[in-house]
Amino acid sequence: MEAQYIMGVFDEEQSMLSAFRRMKEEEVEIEDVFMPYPVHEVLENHGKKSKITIVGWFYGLFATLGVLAFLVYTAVIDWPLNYGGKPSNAFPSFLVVTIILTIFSITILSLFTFSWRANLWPSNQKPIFHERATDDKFVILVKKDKVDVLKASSLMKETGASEIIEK
Amino acid sequence: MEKQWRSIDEYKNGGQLDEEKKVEKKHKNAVLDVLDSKVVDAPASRRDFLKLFGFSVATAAVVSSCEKPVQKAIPYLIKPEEVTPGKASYYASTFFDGTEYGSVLVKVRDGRPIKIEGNHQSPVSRGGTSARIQASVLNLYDDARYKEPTIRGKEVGWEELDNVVWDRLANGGHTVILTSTVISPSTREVFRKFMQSHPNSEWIQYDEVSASGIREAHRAVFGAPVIPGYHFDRARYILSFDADFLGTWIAPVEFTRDYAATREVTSQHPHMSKHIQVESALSMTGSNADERIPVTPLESDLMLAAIYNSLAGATGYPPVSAPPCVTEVEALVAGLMHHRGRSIVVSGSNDPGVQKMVAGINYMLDNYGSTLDLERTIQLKQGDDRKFAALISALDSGGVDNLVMAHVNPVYSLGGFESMKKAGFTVYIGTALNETAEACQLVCPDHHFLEAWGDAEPVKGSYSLQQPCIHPLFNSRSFQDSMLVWAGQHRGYSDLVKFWWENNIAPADEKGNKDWWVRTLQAGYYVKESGVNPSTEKYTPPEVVLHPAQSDLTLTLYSTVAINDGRYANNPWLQELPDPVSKVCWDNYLAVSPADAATMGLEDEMVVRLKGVELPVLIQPGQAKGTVSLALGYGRTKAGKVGENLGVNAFAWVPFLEGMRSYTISQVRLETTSLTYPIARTQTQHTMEGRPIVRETSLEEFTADPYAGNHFHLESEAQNQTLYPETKFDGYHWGLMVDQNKCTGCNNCVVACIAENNVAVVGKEEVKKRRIMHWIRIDRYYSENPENPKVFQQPVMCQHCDNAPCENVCPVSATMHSNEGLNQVAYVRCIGTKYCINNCPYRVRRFNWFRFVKNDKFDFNQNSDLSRLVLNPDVTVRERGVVEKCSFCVQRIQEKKMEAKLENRELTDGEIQPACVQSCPAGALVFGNMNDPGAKVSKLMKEERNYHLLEQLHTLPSVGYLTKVRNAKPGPESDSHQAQDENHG
Amino acid sequence: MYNTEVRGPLILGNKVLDQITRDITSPLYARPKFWWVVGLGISSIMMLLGFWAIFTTVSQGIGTWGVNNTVGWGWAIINFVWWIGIGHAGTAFSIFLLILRQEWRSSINRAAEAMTVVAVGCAAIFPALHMGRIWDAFYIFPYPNTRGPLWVNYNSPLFWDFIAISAYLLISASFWYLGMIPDFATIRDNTKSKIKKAVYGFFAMGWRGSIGEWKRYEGLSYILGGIAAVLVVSVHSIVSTDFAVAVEPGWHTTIFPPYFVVGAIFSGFAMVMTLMIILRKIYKLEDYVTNAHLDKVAKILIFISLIMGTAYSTEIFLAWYSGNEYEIFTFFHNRITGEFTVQFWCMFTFNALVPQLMWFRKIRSNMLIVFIISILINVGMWFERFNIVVTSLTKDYLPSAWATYSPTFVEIAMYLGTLGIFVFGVLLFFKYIPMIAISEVKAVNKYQVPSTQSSVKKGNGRR
Repeated sequence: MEAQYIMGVFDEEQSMLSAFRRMKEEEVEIEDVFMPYPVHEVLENHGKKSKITIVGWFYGLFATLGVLAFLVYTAVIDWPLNYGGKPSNAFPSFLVVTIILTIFSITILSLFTFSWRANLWPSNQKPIFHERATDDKFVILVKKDKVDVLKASSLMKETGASEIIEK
Repeated sequence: MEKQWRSIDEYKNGGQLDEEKKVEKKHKNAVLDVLDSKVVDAPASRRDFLKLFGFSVATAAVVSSCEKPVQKAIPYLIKPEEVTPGKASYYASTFFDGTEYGSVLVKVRDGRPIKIEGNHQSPVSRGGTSARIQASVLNLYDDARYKEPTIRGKEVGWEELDNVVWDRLANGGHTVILTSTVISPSTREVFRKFMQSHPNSEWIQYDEVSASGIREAHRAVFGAPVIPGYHFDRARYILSFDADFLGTWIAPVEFTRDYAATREVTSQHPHMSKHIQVESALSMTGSNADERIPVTPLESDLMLAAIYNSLAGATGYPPVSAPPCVTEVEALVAGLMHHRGRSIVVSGSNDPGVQKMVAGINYMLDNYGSTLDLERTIQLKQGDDRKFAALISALDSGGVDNLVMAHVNPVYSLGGFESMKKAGFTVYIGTALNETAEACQLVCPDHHFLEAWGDAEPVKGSYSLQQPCIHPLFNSRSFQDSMLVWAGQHRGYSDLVKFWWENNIAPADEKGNKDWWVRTLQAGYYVKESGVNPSTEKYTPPEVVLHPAQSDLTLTLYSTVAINDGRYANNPWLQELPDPVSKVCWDNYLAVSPADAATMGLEDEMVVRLKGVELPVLIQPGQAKGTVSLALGYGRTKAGKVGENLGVNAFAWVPFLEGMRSYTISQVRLETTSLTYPIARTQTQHTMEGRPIVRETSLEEFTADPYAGNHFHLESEAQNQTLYPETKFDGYHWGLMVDQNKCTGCNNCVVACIAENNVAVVGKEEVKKRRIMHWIRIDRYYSENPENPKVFQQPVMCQHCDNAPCENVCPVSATMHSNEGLNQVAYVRCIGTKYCINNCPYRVRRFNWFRFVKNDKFDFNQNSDLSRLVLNPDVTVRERGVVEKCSFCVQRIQEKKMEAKLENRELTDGEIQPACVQSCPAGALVFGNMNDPGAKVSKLMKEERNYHLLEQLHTLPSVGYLTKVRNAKPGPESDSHQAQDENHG
Repeated sequence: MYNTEVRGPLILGNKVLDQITRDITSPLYARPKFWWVVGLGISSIMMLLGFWAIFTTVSQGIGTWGVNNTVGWGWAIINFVWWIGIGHAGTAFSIFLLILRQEWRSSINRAAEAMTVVAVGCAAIFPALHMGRIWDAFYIFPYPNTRGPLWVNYNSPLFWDFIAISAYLLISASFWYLGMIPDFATIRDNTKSKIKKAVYGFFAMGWRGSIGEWKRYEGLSYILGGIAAVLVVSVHSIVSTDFAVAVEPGWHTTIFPPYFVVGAIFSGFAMVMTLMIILRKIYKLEDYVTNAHLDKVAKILIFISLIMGTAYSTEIFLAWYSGNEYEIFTFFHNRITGEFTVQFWCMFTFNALVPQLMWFRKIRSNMLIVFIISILINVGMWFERFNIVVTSLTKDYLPSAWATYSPTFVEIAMYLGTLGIFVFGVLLFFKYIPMIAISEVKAVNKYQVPSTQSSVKKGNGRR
């Protein structure tokens, strides 16, 4: 079938970065970049920031309230008991449980969120553009119908792409 | 009672025994089935089989496929009117086992006697019982009981056996009936009838642990072989020589009540008796003494002589001839003289000479008539050693043709009874397996006392009745009935008892009044107001000659609080009952004084050889130097699965001195060996480490300052602080008071608790691992000089703290606080983290380390279908892996609350009595509602002597202890460490 | 601002990224070595022993142990606390060093985290088995039930414990797994074998290293990092409340939470040290786990050991200063002197004194001695737990209840069993999981690209 993508394969982080900068300047729209390790400049200058941290914070907030409510309901309202002369609402004891359960819920929920948003889950198979992108190559991917193909490829060549593959 | 009466009656109509058996079986199964359907897997009679067969094949399939045994309850078709399923009924009856008497109430639940309680109306035992009486209910369900009459081990029917006996007796040989002490007047009547029909027969009574020295002495001094009535309650000065009168001597329950009465002190009434114990082994009684003088038995005899002589000098009687004693007796003499007529001197010796001196001393002190009673004499211990010795020689000379023995065990208690074989014909009448029975040709199973009719005259003039509370479980026949049958009588014993009472005991105006009989039967006792006259003549001063004491090792043999003279060897409750002093169970051991141990290089659990027998050693503080002591009653060889081959049989060594059995043996020699033998002790740390645990003061200090020895209480009350407001209990707030001045450590409460709460027996190995399950334990501490320590007895049960540390830490809410202040455990909820055990500063919680029920590794009462009949259906039998502990007998609390509610009234104070409280012979425990200011418990809580255990932890226990007061000069050490305790916090 | 050049290279030799991959993943492709098979064999035998012990306990009852009605807890709880302590290494390592921006952690934290997960797993076995009725363990969940519903007791440290341990197990596991996703992808893309491709592919969850993935990946690891930081501190504090909340002398003290946390990290780091020394030796990974790294860990150990010493002394001082006779007895007559003298002094020497030897560079650089010390520390830490759990219980308030405790073979076997599980787990990890975080090492590796620009850029990147 007819290829839709062009990818520039770089051996060096530096060359990939310079290509990345140039393309940003010349407004060549980059589809995606595949890196063996996170290169923060790329992460920060392409696409929106991830909101997962903010989401996580809210998870925490709701967990705290939820857990406290549950404890108070079960221990004070639903079935109050006298343990060693303590009032059924022994608040200091509740705090410990609340803290830990909050942490617990944050973890679980943000794990699910991550796997949903980053669309990663066990046995999930996504098209792999370049085998060595997880090893030692940096790959910049552009969509043919979105950019001027020649411009893009020449750009990447200049900045030292080891090869240009159409896919 | 109608019912029991009738069935027994039928049972008696000699001819139709087969018919009888059927009735019996039917009734038995009916009884068993109601609650305990174990009968399903119990050895089934034909009727059982048919009954089960009645169930359809489908059911059978279900049964076989189901893991848990299907339990079927077959209800009564026609319910006996006195039995309400789920409701206990109480019958007044009498306990007498040949050595000990108690007037009791038998708690019968759905036809099964499950608990013995004290009868508070009885003028003799006054609601008290002893550990042995409490445990006797288990003997009813003992696997070792004889179930069928046998001839040479072969099971036969009664008529066959009777025929054999008749034939034998017919040819008129010399017949001897050897029994333990008989205090039942109607049984005497039975013997009279037997003697009539068999003229050439005599009746001899024999006590394993004899007191015939006392009777002999009184015969010599007052012309009548009696044991006087002892009234410790009237004594202000008690001097006891080797007499364990609170534990085992003659009538301990009775004596404990009296004694405790003289130990009650309050700030308003700061007076108490002074108790001095002169003894070689540290007995339970000695542990309670105000002053204790440890001396060898021979020295104590010489002391008696010295006292006798100085009193004789003062009162102008001839002295006895004895070498001088080493110990100073002036103080004692002075004390006795000062308390003339209000003192009492007793001796545990069986030597008539010694007892004569005792009698003489008491006479010279005018104690007869006040603290000692020659009218209402004690009827126990009628055994006559001389007669028995004569019997043995008669046997040896072949002068006895037929030997009938009932409830005695000479083969064991003589350490072999070869002479017995000389008698051509030997019959044994008894309830359970024992050495003597096995040696006899005929064995006639007797009823257990809970199955039989009977009566008793423990004290001259006061009688009590014994009525059956369950139909005989086995094909047994009461001792008296056998005698009557063999005497050719047709009237049954039950009949005879009633007849005899109505004719001989009933007062003139009540003669022939059926109502009187029923009333008396309900009350269980009857006291003859008049007609008791002293059978004694004028006093003749005794002549006694004592020889100088040898200065070498003397062995004293004593009977223990738990096993008594060995008759309870097969009772696991008693075997696992720790000795009040040494805290050892499951064994007897040789107690050695610390000084002797040091010189001989002995240590605990070392094995020594004594008269060729190997014995473990236990270093016993307070044991008199130059003496060793060993418990009787162990080393049974034929007793049943529990009691066999535990410890050594010391009876073998008891010699006859001038026809009297002597329990002290001088000039013994110990050979040390390289062996060791493990001893199971429930307590291994014996001092209080100077902590304010048992608080003590002397009478002087107490009169000066009621808070003496207890200032720490005020301190900690002042220092108590709390983050949370203290819980308020509206309605009831249950509390328990322990008067450490009255508690003697007799362990009655422990067994009562075991019986009431289905506490498991765990066996020696587990006890050694410190896993005993008792819910109430009695801690025993020593202080000061190990050669003659102060001893403290302290009962510890769950303190039901209102700030209970154990409750906070249970993750699953298995233990929490009730709104009546009870600390309760929900067994079903418990997952057994054991955290509560760790966090209980009193260590009263118990963990079920294994499955103790139906487990062959723990082959005790709970592993037998028969013995499980004693289980109290009101209390859960705990599963493996859960924690249990004292519940203040919550089932009793609820029962009484329910009763009060139904009768629409307030609970009265003292109405609720936990098992430990109910039968405490000393009345040392008081239970009640602390919210009721009028309640006895609240009053005691306000006393200056009251304190709480570990109160500085602010656990707010609901159990209070009253400071122990000793009527003795305060020892320097004791106070210093008390003071130091109070400095700590 | 932190600058790598100052500290010298973190990774030795000038490796191309691809070589890093090959170096680290090589054990996955190599045939299992002899010692590895042997180790696996021995550990599985130990595991079998452990399973026998577990079976005996469950089928017969806790009675098969040495504990009694006075000493309710024994080896089970000692080992539980000990394992949990070791289980702190991984997370502590990753988190604290992440927060402190210690890049060198990246060579070690993977192994450390693996250790954590296995250790916590081992720990979790004990509280479960020391229950009398393990079949009713589910009672501890507060769920609506037919019993009322009867909820649980939130005042009980054991409940806190239960929550904390399960949370910790889950979080450290996910933290560990998250770190491995990119590496799994790397293996997936490099391996020749179909099976490996399938298996690692399954766990790689379709990772490609795209921008979106990396962004959220970093976001999530910040969250988990932050959380786990709290957790590391709180978990062992909570474990300590099992004792601190009780009334027992020697337990009821406020110093316990910090004291336990530090102790945990101490034993954890010691265990990391032990493992890394073995690991780098047999896998020739000296280039990745450099002497410098171990030197740093050693220094940390010295520091913590000082804290331990302080904690011990504080405890003893307070016991004396409080004038509480029960505390005084426990510390002075039952630990320092008395029945448990040996255990006490083992604890003190191994934890507070021996590590001080590492002040000397000579000793610090001698891997053998360091190795021995790291082992001694863990022995000492075991004795610390013994001192806390057993000595207090044996002789507390009422002398009448005093008893002693010694373990039965069942308890010992169970401990050996968990050791077996640990070794077994770690061996599997060596063989089937890249023991160093490949992507992280690569990220670190770039720093020795001799271009100031990059490092500055990195700086910007960090800000």
